Amino acid sequence: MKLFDNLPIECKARADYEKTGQEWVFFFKPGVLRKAVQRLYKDGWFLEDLLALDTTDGMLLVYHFDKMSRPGRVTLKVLTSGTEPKIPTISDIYQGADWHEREVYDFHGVVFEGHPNLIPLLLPAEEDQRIEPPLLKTDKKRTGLKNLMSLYETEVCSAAVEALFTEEPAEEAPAEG
Amino acid sequence: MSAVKDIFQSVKDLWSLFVGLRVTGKYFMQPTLTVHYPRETVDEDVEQTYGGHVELVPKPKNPLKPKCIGCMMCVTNCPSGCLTVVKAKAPKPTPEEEQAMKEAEARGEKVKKPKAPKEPAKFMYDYSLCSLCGTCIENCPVGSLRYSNNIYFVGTSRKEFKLDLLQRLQRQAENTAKAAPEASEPEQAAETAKSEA
Amino acid sequence: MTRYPDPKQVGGDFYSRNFAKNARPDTLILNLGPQHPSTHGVLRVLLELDGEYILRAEPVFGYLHRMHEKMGETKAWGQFMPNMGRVDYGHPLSWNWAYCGAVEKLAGIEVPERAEVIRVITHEMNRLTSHLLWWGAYILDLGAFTPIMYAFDDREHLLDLLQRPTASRLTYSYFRFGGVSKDLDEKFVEGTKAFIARFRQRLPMYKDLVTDNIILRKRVEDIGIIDQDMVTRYGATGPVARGAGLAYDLRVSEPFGVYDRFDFKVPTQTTCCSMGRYLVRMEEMEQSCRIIEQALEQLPGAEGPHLVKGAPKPQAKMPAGEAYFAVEGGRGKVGVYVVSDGSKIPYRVKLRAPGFSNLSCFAEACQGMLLADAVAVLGSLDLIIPEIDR
Ligand code: SF4
Ligand code: SF4
Repeated sequence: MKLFDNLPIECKARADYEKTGQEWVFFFKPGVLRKAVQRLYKDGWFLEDLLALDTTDGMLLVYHFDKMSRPGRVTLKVLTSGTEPKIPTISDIYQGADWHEREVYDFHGVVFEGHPNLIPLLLPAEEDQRIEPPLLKTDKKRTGLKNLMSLYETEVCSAAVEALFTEEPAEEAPAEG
Repeated sequence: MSAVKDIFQSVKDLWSLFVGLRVTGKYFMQPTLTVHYPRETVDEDVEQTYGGHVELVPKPKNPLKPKCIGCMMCVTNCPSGCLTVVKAKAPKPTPEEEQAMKEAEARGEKVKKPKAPKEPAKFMYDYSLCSLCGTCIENCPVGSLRYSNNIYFVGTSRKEFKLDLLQRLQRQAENTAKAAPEASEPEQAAETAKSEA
Repeated sequence: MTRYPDPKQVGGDFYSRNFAKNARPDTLILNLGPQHPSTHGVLRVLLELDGEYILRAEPVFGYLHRMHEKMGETKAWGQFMPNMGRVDYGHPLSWNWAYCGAVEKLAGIEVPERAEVIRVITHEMNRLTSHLLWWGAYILDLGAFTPIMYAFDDREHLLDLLQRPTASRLTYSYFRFGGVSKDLDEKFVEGTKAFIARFRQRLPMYKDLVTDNIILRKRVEDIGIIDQDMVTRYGATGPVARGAGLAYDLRVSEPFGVYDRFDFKVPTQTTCCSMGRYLVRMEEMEQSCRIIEQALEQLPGAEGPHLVKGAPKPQAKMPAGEAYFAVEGGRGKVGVYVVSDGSKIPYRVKLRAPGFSNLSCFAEACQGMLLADAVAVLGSLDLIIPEIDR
């Protein structure tokens, strides 16, 4: 997987496809996301889905990409702030992401900067009927990234990301990039 | 040349309509396939394999009592929360027994209190909530639940879908006894289900 | 019907007003649905029309939204299973499989060979019912009433067979972690063999009755062009991708279960139009028959029980981790992504609905098209709205 070479990768790891259904897992800073996605588009990958994960380390955005010509899945993970999640949109690169982003906005309240039409998709849209993002966890249930997934076999990994996955309680999450 | 082709194509296109009409005509002549309920009913086989609402399985020897031991596995595992089981309480001791117990206690012996029978006192089921997933059926340790084949079950209000399964079992047993005392039990249950619906 | 230029006068709800903001002053905004019979449930499409031509379209949905993902976070792993039968009533077993597959990956549960073969058989039969439902309903959308009766005749036979092991007729909750809930019996096998033989004769009849019919061809050919680039940009899968000439079928390109054992073709069409997608599905029904036949032959030789020994109970805890599993459903790639924190309740369940991505192509595909064709294009995408709304 040489696609992202000479991009500032936070973490690059090879996952076990048999066990997790993913081949490569990348961590990016929000600022690099669009560049990475552009490269994926040029290489013929398509966006499978996009979701947010509410953790104590912040809001983790997970992008799944797949290719039609060969099996294997690339996961891009971007960590943003948990209180005011914000991330650049990719809906101009992958038009299909438009609705996925609106859905994440509905469910987790993540704001996609530059999205042309960020209005509710599935939940009530009238201003007086809107509800709180329903998939945000309560403080009691929310847990850290290290309890939810492993880092897999890393090839490159910044200290900040590694700190998230080590057992000792890590200090502040390296949120904004 | 192309004009000839066009004409030929048009004739072919027109012909496709006749081919379609021939199919419809053929099937028009055949007997009806739909089941005209209630004048007709579905095949026996389909009815027997139909998974209707959940019902209790009677004990092989006593058709009035379910196999159920009141372990509550079905209640905890049901995703929709549509089952309510109330365990049977220990029977109230009669005055003489109470007296005997007190005396035993005074003598410092171990008191034998009457145990609660292992059976449900109440078995309520709300069909309107049930998702017919079969979780309760698979997780019952004694196989006391099964799908009924009550295929023609209708009701006009929500209340009618709240079933008391113990009562239903008793009704079934009575109907069975009335209808044909000799016939084997499972078939009977199916028939009662039908007649009830 | 509303006249512009005064946007303040625009009635309707939030979406109509939002849509009207960018409308040209001399156009008509039309609301198609949500109760329109040919929008399959409750899809609503806002259209900006210039005469009879569509300038812009925006599908609006969510009327059937049930928040399955939230329900996943409140129920135990096994208790979420019945929800999977209800996401997509057309092809529920593919959702069953996707969720079970994801959890099996997460927990490392082996699936016995016999269970795998049973899964293939029932999954393919369910695909047939799904395609038959689509076929009848699509032709009904286009104005022909009879074909849906023929389709439902065949479909009923399949449902009668499928109710034997699954005990349901529509919203199956049949798969379990590590297998299926009930074994197939002799009558099922016999009946399925008989059905396939019968269905083989029905398929040419369908071709005579509908596929070759000139009225249908004139109606659906060359409309709703969705080409390969669009497929990639929108992430469309299933017959929509195959109708654009991409031989992308997870059963072949990312084999799951035991699909790699069977010999079948992935039908494709290069016309990218509604007719292309129609033909792909018709061909797929034949291929499904082939798979079922081969699987039935393998069934007696397949070893193991129908459910693995020590299969997790509904309230069992799953190890922490994440897993993604995708299967090829009737409408495309059905994906389930689960995240576990090691407790008995999932931390996150994400459902990837193929119809969601397929429908997102519509706004672009219908630009400049006639209004009457919009219905023909919507139908050719094979939409099941509950699946899109989740
Ligand atoms: S079938 Fe499922 S929903 Fe119905 S009572 Fe049993 S466990 Fe509950
Ligand atoms: S029906 Fe079965 S699972 Fe439910 S309480 Fe009775 S014995 Fe237990």
